[in-house]
Amino acid sequence: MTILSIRFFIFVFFLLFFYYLLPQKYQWPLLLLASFLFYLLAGTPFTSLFLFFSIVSTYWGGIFIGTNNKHKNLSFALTVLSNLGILIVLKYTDFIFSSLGFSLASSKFSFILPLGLSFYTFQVIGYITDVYRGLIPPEKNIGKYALFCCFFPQIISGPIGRFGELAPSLFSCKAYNIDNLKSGFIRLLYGYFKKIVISERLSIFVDAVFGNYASYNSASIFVGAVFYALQLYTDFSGYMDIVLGISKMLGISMAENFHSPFFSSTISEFWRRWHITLGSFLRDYLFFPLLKGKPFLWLSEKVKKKYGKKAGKKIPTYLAMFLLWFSVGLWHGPDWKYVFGVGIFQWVCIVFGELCSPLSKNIRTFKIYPLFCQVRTFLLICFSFLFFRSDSFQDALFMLQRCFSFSKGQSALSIYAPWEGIALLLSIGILFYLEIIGQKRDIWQQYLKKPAAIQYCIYYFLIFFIVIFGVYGLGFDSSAFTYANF
Amino acid sequence: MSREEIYEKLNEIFRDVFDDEGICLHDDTTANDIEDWDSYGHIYLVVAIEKGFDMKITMGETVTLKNVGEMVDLILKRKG
Repeated sequence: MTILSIRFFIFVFFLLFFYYLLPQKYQWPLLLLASFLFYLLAGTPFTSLFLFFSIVSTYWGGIFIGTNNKHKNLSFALTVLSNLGILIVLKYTDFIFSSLGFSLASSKFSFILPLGLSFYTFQVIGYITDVYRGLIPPEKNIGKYALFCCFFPQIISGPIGRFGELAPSLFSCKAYNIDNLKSGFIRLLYGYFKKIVISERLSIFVDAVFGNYASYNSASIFVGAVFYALQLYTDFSGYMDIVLGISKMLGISMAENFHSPFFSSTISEFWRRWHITLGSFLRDYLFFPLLKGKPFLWLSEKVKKKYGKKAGKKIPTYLAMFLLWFSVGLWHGPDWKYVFGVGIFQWVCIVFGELCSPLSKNIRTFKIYPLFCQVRTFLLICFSFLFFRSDSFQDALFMLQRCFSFSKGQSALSIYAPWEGIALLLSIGILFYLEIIGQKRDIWQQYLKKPAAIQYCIYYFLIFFIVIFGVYGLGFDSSAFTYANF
Repeated sequence: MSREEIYEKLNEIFRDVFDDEGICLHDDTTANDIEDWDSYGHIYLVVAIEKGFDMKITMGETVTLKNVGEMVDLILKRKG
């Protein structure tokens, strides 16, 4: 069962029906049951064992850390390492061995990769770390804790939740609220609009260009790179809209994962607005401990003595940032194209941007400067995502070379029929209009303030738009959400 | 140590860490009010407070400190 299937709709419908029909004390047990069922139907029973291990190990780890001060450090280390170990062995064994020059062709581990492994592993590590740091008490009810780990809308692609923020909303009793249902449902529809109408339509162009880039001209490759950035955004943020829409209908508040990232002026700002929960997770659980750790403080003192105060701050920070971005790249996948494109390239852009910042002082006063920064950031992101989509690191380099060498070849624009091009432009126009509005106010709250007639018009407009201009039917792989395999 | 004494010392630390002599703190001062107070600056600030007040700030406290008022409360708790 995938989030785009008819079975999923029926599943959510019956869940909502019983969720508000049953006495409120049974709401969270019902969600737990639904979450287990969803995970079993979406994945395989065997891979569910890994999720089961993560739940049980971190539950008992939390209890032990919270009640036993003597072996607190050892329990914390064992719990984190065992869960991180599963992630590393299942996801990165092939990558590590092949990077070291060994071939593991006959013993690939990737075929047993559990659904949402990277997401739920980070979520449980976040929980155990918060208990260790004394920020939250350990959850004593294993059922409630299991629900936090495997809440069905978020387990496959996040957002990566924090126990302290999610638990009150997840376990409280919720009365039927029509506003929650309405704003949740419109957000769900908007998520499907992003995925089925925009992302899938863009993927037709992107697949053609990336699949056979040698036969296309430079302009087509450039447009392909821009389209892929939009495709990835509408795919991932569309999934998040579906997740947050369902959660809203259930009366559960979850963390936002996107905040109009394509309007960012710098790469750092982009990553504060793109996959927000991953960024804040790595900041709090990796970057801060690294920078505050003894080796980095020692380095900071040494550099400060030799090169001055500013260098004493900057050089260790850049080094810690390198490790952070390396981890971001690696988290996205066991391949150098991810490590470079979504990792090291971003680090280079941020450091270069900071070092060159004094040089831009004179041009910052120009009216066009903010727009220039937004366009520059958008294009840098498009080129870095080219590595994300390419079959290999080498292919990405060849594509970049071809893109900037004014190569001749066929034009990919003929891939779309005229009506398809118009539908795509119109839907991207709607997307950007809502992105602009969404920067200033909550569009879902604005929707609720509209008269009922307008609300219905928006519902039907979205439904008809999806039905008429959506890409679905034969040959459409409804399970193909980019971030679903992480 | 009184709240005023803590503020006096904290102002010095902030001015030194962020290289800005114009900083004047109050309870509601947050990272949004000081240009270089980003996630990197935050760590150097916490380390400077630890040194300046000869105290230890845990990682849990580091990630949850949201404004100057909370910092002063924490210092008061340890040093008051």
